[in-house]
Amino acid sequence: MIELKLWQSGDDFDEAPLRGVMAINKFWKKDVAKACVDLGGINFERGYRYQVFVCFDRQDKLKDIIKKLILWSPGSLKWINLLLYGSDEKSACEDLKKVADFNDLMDDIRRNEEKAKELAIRYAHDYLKIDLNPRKKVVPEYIISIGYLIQMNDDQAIVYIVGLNYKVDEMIRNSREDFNKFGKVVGYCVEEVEKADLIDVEEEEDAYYVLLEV
Amino acid sequence: MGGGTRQDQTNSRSGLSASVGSYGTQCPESKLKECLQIGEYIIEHEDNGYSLKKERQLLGMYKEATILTPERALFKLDKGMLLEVSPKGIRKVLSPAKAGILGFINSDGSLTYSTKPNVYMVRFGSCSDELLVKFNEFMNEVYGIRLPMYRRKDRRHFIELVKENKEMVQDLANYTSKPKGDWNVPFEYLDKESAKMFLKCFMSGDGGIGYYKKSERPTPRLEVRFFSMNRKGLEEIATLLREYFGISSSHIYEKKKGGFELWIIRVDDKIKYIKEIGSFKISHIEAIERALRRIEPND
Repeated sequence: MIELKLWQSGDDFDEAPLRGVMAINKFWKKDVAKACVDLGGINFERGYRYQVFVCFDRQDKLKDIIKKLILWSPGSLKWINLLLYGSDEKSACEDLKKVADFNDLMDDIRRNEEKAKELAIRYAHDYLKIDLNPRKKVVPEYIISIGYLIQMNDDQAIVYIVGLNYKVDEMIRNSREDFNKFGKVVGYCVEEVEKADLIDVEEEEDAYYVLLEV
Repeated sequence: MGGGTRQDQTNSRSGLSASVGSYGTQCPESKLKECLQIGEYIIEHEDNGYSLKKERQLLGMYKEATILTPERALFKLDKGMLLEVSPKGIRKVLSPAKAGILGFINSDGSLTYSTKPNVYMVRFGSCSDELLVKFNEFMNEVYGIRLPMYRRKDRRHFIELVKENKEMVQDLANYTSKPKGDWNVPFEYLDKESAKMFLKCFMSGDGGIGYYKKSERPTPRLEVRFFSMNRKGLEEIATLLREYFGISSSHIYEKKKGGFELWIIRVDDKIKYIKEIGSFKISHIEAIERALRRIEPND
């Protein structure tokens, strides 16, 4: 995979499609079979930041894709990159372990929360070196990333929404509204919480807050 | 700079030995209003400004001082720079306004510094009117220039401030590596006030301050975080928070999905941040007010 940086926050937006066309003409050789435009942005006011990959297979689509991304992407844009793949490589839209429907996504998020809570209880106990007060809740806090697979006419896009686990409902509600121009969501994915590093434990009046890096 | 006749300066020097003391001391037998000694340096206040001397040698004349205490003095230089005099020595520091410009540029702005072709451009873009106004206010204070606004049709509510000016860009490029790539914190030109403004403006562009109450959670949570693609830059922000404000509980998250986030972890540090530094962004200010109302209901 070749990664080419086209634009970053503060640059003139008009430069992005121009640089994109120059880059793709120069680097799309015989061994390149497909490409992605990778755009990152922050939308903290709506509770998340995000990264979009629009996957396509023809050079001439690039300019239009970049222009649409600039027009449609919410919040503050931070970067636009171009990724070029060989035929034996998986693009960002193809490299998904599991694509679920919305109900499965919510089940996966609940399972993640249970696993994180289990880890949080263990870490809180080890960290504080005391028996936890049973009247206090143990609340795990961690950053999660939810993927929406979107059909954009002939092309596909994967939008990753990154935010805090305890704001997940708001994050999903807002981001589905913010990205509705991109097209129809055809699947969802979320990274499974398997293990975590402890960042901090904070004891408050009625709960232990356990900050994890999953 | 410069001012006063040679005779005036000689008179000032002659009155020195009798008048040196803490700030506010009357200096007899001279036209001096007040004298101040800071370490090896002598500052004399005359009708037309301040003279700075070391071992009776005149180092410079300054029209305006922003701080004058027995421990430290700050004199106004041009282009938003200040001269700091302390027992440790003298150095140039950024005024808060100039540090703010750099904080804004390092978050949502850019500096184009190119000789082939010749392009010297400063740019700042935002969807938040209050940040555009503040950036322009600082540019006017430092360079006497207001940047024209361009409303983009392809971004909702997005306005860019753009100005081509070689001298201004060359000057700003002395304090940030942004034109060459990743931004940096200009440590050697910061004091606490300018560090505060740098952080406040960077937070306004690329930070998040939130205060969330969720029904199933016992206590609302205060969030204070910075975002960047530049990990080294965020490490420098962490150093700045620690050295100037004693905020030590920061952690940098690196997610697979691009970019880095620096979080302030402990509640006491978060409160210190919102009380001492804050942000210019309205949504951040509202979150800070909500948090402080709960933390300090009687204030």
